Amino acid sequence: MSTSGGMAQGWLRTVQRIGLAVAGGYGFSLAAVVLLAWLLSAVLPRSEAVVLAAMLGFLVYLGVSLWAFAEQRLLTLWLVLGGGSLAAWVMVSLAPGVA
Amino acid sequence: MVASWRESMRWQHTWVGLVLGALLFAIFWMGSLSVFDKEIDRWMMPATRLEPPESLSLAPALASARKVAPDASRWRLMLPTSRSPQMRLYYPDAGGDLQFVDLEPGTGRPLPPQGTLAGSEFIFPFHFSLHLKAGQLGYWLVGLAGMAMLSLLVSGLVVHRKPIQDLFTFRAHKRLGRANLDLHNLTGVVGLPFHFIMTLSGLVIFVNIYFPDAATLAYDDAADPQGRFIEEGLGRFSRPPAGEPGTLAPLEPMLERARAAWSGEGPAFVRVWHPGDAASYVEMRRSNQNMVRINRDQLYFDGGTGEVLFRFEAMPLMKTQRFISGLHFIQFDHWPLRWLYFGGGLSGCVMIVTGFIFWLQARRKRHAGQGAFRLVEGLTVGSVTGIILATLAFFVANRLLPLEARFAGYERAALEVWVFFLVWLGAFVHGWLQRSDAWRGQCWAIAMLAVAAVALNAVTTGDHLLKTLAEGYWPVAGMDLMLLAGAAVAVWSARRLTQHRAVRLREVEFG
Repeated sequence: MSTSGGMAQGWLRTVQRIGLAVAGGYGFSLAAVVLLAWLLSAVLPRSEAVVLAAMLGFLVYLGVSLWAFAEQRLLTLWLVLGGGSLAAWVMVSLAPGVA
Repeated sequence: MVASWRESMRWQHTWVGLVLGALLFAIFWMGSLSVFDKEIDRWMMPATRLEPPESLSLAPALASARKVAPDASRWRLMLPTSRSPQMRLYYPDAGGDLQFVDLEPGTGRPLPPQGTLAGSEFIFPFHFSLHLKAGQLGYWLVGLAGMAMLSLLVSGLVVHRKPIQDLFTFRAHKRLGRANLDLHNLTGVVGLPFHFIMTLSGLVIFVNIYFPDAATLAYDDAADPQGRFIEEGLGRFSRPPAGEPGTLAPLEPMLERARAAWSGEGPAFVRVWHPGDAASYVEMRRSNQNMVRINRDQLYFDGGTGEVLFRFEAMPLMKTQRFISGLHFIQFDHWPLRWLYFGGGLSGCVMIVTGFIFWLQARRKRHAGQGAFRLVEGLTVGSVTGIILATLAFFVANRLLPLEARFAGYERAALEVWVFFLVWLGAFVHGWLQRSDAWRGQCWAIAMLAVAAVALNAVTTGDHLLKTLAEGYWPVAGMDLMLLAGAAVAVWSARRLTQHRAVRLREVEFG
């Protein structure tokens, strides 16, 4: 951290971390909500499944966004939160109903 | 591992708190006031300081609606409650924007326009939308701040090693720095359950805005999954206008049927869709006055025949979502709880401002001259005392502007809002120029404006404090008393800050 290169790298890591906590965390939570709503709709009326999953989504988001600040390895964060966001994007944009 | 976990939470708490603290303070402040939004309405709209009606008649109100908005596609009549004695008619204007006019509950006659958005149309929506309408930007910013608030509560708890001890620690007599941190911990820990539940429930209210794609897979056979989900979950009936004129059946029998269906309780509002059309229909939504849940119990009647077209009651989990929302909205009648909410909200404000002050104190010695430090200093002043000052200026402008006021093409209600935002902006500028001395000046200004508001209410409406207290008219008496209490706190703060400044100057002088 003493050299200016180290400082710049530190900043870059911080920006990544915040981006992953906010955007990655949301994407991951959205994927969890969409999947959970779908799974729960097997045992609950669909609208009930959706509202339950979406409410739980806030707690998922809270958990993963805090974890994004605690986890040291950025790669792990990218894999989990980035991967989750990608999954959410795939589900939302490629769902049969949208086509 | 535990140490580094705590260290990462400390970092998160410091910087997330700093970046979103100003926004959070605005949301907490407006939310605390929104608890009494209807009472603020009474104070700001003297023409609505009425006795609640003894019985309800809808026909005169409908006659007014026909005159006020003959071509509107729908009329929504908010019925009188114990906190809102008037009837309020909402209708979309030619451009599709929602307008409202207040009606005298007995005669249905329009009350003289008060030219103000007051509590329920300015302060309350500010709390959740910041009045930023573009693409629901305000909702998303508030949502982001809400999630940040939840994470700050968790990280704050992790940072504090002795949360139980904090419950009983407030060394008010100690140096300002120590007292400040004690107060931050005290409000944070004591208020934790309230703040956590309020923040989470606030997010849950807008679950359909924050997770607009939740239904994607569960409703993968629908062309519009979210639309279908809302239709099934929240109940919705609609039919297009016939394009031919029709007459509306009397509403009283429909009201009777609604009361019978809802164990004697009446509707919160009556909405007439396609008035004057042969396919018109009437929607009624059950009142929330006697239950926590913001219910979705609905009845739809055919406008011509008065027959029931559609009846809806939400399923258990959706009812749970509405219950959680209701915990936040507190639309039910419960005065002690309403005051506790107000106190809880203000304790959140105290928690945020003491957090800011702690951040500044920890850095004042090393960074006082730096631009970033000065930026935060001014930001703190503007976002804390600044928004309080702006709110009071909003109240004072309400009492000073004549009813027919217009300026530069703006209506009176918009002028009040301009006063709010200009004073707020001025408070930021003052904060950046005067730095930590600005606290004192703004505290004095708050005290003066609060007293001026009470005096202006007495002069312009005649409902002075002695009269409202003697009559037991609490909406206005309570508002005046709160303004005076606020003025007292502001004077106390300003004096304490003056002493603090004297001590600081001595320290500088004598090393």
